[in-house]
Amino acid sequence: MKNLKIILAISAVIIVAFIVVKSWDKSAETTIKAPTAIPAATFEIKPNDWVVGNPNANVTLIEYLDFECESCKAYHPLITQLKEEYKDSLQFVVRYFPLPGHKNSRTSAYAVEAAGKQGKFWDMYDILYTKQSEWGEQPVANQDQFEKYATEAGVNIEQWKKDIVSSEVLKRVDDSFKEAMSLNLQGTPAFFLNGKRIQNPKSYEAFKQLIQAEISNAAVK
Amino acid sequence: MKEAKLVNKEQHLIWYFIFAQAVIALLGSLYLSNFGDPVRNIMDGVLFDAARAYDPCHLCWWARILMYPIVLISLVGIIKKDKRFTDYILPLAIPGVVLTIYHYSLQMFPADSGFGAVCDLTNPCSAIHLIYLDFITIPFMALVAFCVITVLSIINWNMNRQSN
Repeated sequence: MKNLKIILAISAVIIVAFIVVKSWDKSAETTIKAPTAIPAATFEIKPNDWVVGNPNANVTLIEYLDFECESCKAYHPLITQLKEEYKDSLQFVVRYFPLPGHKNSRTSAYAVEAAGKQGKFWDMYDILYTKQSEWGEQPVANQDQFEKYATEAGVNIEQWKKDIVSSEVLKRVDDSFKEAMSLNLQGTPAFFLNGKRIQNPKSYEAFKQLIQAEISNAAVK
Repeated sequence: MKEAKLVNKEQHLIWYFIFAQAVIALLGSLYLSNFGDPVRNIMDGVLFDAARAYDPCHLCWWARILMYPIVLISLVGIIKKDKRFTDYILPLAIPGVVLTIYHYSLQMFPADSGFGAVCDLTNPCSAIHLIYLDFITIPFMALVAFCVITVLSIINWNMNRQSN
């Protein structure tokens, strides 16, 4: 019995040590802060940004996204609805943040960017989200599959094949990724409304309220 | 060595099962972290492609710390015919059970789900890399391994107690 007590005591010590380390980890996570100095230009619309909506709108919503992220996919119908409902008062901007844990995210970003060079960005954007369950979570990115989607989006496939491996496309995605990292983003989707980071809204109504408030603010100014 | 002669065949079998279970867990985890999902790899006919590997998450590393020594301890125990070697295994296996229950619950009941959720930049412990039959995930397999080792070690401990 003495033996058993020792065994159980050691087990308990290991479990307690684990709980202590785990809770210490959690408190460390909560102390992560946003970078103090973000250049204002970061949230200005750049010439190579993908933008939809009214170019004269006072409200800009930027989304850092990963096409392979399930949470981004969950927001896709909601964003589609927002784009439609606020097409006169909102500019919606997409930037890439392909998470390293997703093995297809970079290739998917290249595929969309390459389609964008032929004016088919938003078609490809919609197709990839709609069909995420087909191509997401693959152990190795399958370019043939993306080629199929690009054809569906209506691009010139020969040109698209050249663009998807071009240094311009690769650099564009990489620059966007580096920017997201410099903003200390910890995941996707990450939304910035008129340059202010917002917590991911829990519903369409909550999202609308934030945008509506920003539209009212802009009107007052 | 006198003690060794008291060990019966059933008890020997238990030792081998403990060792075998720990070796399976060791090789399984190494395969997953080097080559990815074995079932998918077999179906694709690509068994050893490092690009398919899964990065072990934080809690998976903890489970490895607890599981891997069991391989060596049980091997030495078997070679030395030390019937009390499970005394060294239980303090690793019992926390292993608790840890993997916690890990599995993170996967099955994530704190954030639906709207408001995010995909993490880091390798989150709640991520489900593979799932068989809608419930068998990597931490679930680790949980089964730790449970098997714990139960067999307790049976061995009980046999020792009865023989004394």
